[in-house]
Amino acid sequence: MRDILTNALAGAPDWTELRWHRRSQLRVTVEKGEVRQAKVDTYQGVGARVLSDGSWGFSSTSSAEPEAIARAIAEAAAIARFLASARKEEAALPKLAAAFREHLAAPRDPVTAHSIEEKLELVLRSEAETRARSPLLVSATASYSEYVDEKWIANSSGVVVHELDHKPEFGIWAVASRDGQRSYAGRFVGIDGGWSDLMGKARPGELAEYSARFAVDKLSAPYPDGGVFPVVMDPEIVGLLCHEAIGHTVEADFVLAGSVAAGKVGQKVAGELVTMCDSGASEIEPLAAGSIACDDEGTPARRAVLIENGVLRGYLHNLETAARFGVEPTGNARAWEYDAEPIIRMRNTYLEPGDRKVGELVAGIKDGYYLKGAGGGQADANAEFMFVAGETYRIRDGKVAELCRDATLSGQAFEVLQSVDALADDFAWAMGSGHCGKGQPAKVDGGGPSVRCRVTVAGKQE
Amino acid sequence: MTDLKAICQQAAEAARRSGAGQAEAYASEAVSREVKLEKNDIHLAASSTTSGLGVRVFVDRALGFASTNCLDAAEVERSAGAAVAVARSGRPDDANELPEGAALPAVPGLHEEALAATTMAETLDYARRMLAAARDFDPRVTIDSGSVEVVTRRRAVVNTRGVEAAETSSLITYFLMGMARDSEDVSSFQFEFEAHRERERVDVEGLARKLAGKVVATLGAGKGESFKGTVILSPDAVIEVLAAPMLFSVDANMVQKGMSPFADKLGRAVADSRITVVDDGLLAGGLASSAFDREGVPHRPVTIVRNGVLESYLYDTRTARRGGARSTGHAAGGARSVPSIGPTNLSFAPGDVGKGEMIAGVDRGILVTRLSGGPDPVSGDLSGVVKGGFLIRNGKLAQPLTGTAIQANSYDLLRKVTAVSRETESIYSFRMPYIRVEDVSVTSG
Repeated sequence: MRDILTNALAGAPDWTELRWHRRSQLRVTVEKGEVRQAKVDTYQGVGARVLSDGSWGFSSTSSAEPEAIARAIAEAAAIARFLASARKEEAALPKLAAAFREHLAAPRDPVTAHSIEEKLELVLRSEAETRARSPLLVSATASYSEYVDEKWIANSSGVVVHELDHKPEFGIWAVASRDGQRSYAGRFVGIDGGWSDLMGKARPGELAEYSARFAVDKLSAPYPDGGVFPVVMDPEIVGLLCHEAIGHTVEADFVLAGSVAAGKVGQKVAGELVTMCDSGASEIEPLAAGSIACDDEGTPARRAVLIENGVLRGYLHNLETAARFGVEPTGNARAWEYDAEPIIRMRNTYLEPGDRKVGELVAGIKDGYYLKGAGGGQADANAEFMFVAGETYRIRDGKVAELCRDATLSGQAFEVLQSVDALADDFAWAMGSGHCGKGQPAKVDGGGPSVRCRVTVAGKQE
Repeated sequence: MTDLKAICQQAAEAARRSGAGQAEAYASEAVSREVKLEKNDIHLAASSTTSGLGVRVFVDRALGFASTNCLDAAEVERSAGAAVAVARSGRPDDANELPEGAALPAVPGLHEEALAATTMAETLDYARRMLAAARDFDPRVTIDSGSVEVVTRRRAVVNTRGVEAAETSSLITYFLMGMARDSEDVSSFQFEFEAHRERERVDVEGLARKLAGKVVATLGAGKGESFKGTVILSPDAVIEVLAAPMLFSVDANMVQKGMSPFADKLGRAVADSRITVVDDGLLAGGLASSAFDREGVPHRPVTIVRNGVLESYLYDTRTARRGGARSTGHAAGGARSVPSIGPTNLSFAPGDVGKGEMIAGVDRGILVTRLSGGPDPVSGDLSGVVKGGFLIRNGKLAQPLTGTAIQANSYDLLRKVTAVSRETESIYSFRMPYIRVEDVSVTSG
């Protein structure tokens, strides 16, 4: 493949980037005893991106034949030249040194060494075990999926990258019902790693117990009271806040379009305890699901410090925005599959941990909430967010009290970070399942320690 | 041009030879030209042809599925074999059955040569005009992203029980996402999207002005008031607050899994009598229109709710078999996945009140144009932050709102409708009126 790509580049007149990507996907899902998904999917091809006269053109082909690749390059080049007349600002690249980067180490006990029978068996058993735990459970779902990726990336500057990547995921979901009331609970765990890594982190038996218990317990739980409260957020909600409400506002393309973080480098944007980063490596703890060795422009996916002790330090870049801002590229250019062009995306976004115990954080709250697990959410260009917590407990007089129905939290993320007054030492990667969407999906992760701060909790309609 | 039907026949035949009791092959090909906008500038143009083949088989009524994006003969054979291999490790399930072939309705206007022939230069021109119109509207408008895309899509589905269907359609879609910024005052971002099957109807400048008007109008937003009372939902908000939970609840799979609050509610009132909801896969010009669904079952109009009474769930072949019903033609999805259930063109019927009249009749309330955060479809509990909302005072739009949240229960709100507008707007494949609801908790602070 290397020869095919470098030979194709040799004939290209403009700066050209070729990316061959083969993705093998497997998914098995069982709902209430029925096999709803049992699929294998192969998706492969070459994406060609050309920079000509300061403009980009992109084309792709599902074939890896030299003639098909040459056609894709010619088409991308024609589009780029054609766009040059329309574009106001010229795109440029930083100086790139030729390099060969190889990241082929497969994880220990790779998922590819396990049969689909074994995966289906796991999912069937987990779903049945979950549902058997209470007669109040009307339905349960268990699902396993995996992405196995191989990529060759080569460009006209002489950068060549060859990488392999395994990202499996497992989760359980349960729905309980009584007297027309319904509630649900569940958790999905996604990692970058192998089969035993996933089983070690997801612990299917405990997930079944967790999902069943909380779905049933929430049936009789009271709604939380509304208002602004001191809260302790667990690593999963902290990760979601870092990713969704802060992370997107510091993506350089979004900054150039006028996000709330524009022009704020060097300014204090969060409490002094807050240091936030985004990295292609699994910092602090292993297995983070957004891990990549190099991004889809071939840049090593290094750690980018976004906020240091409360001060905004920088943004997330691809080659083009790095050149425009005059900084080093951070390795945040990512493409979902071969037929999508690389755009600025996060990888593993996190808050650095502190040294306190979670119990101490809770002990400092007279009346508030302990919020665990993220049940979805949204954030806006101005960092206003709305998240749902998967487990909500009242804190009374420094102690965790009753379970409540899921709380909805809202606020402005930078204001919430200003209010952070304690960080625990329980760092975890916690949002490795599912995908981030920005025109195209991406596997990302987020995490941090438990954090004490203030946030608005929506109450029950009166 | 690849003969998709022939590829499907080859795949279904290969699967049968490998031991499938029943086999279905779905193939699609999309030829697209797209110009993308980013950061107030033309960003990138892309032309692509993507194809896919999905083979679904039942071996002793156990499910297996395999898909690929490469349609050459060897890969087609390999995928058929892979689907059978997956099924051999599966579990039998009586509901696993493919539909039989049926006559397909004619759907005029799915494909227009003039639209399909739009060149890259013309696509670029649309993009340029759209961007210029947004920026010319007001210098404070900033465009984060946008796109103009012309797609011609061909699809075919063949199964071993007599289904044999193929179709070509073309579509232009364009959108802008942006905000307004006046020094430190950043508006919430807004999104405008349009899609057409006729080239003549393309109006990129109109869309740009609509977006620009919306973001500028939400500058200078202030805190509103806290009260419990009247909320007018814009068509966008109707989708999120009322249509989305309803779609969840009429999905036959959700009904059969015990997750739908509409289980056992057929023939009973689930909404105010002003509410009538129809899903019509044959709608002229509809974004989701086509003759057949993902399994090759013919589309037909389905009345889901008539005058507040639940009339039908949405079924695919599998759930229909399990529920003792007939498929309503709502198998959804593409080549890369096992079919699931989804709507086509969904509309809430218009009412008899003008939008202006509706606002004029409100002493104190809010108009929600966009909401961040939707309802939990299982319980219906809704808690959302208003984006692009306005306070209504004495029958007039008083002021744009920030920091305002609403709380209610979506299923309760369906029964608390007090007015439905004559005007409707198309958003994606939805067509929705403005709807006034009562007893919503509005919190500002």
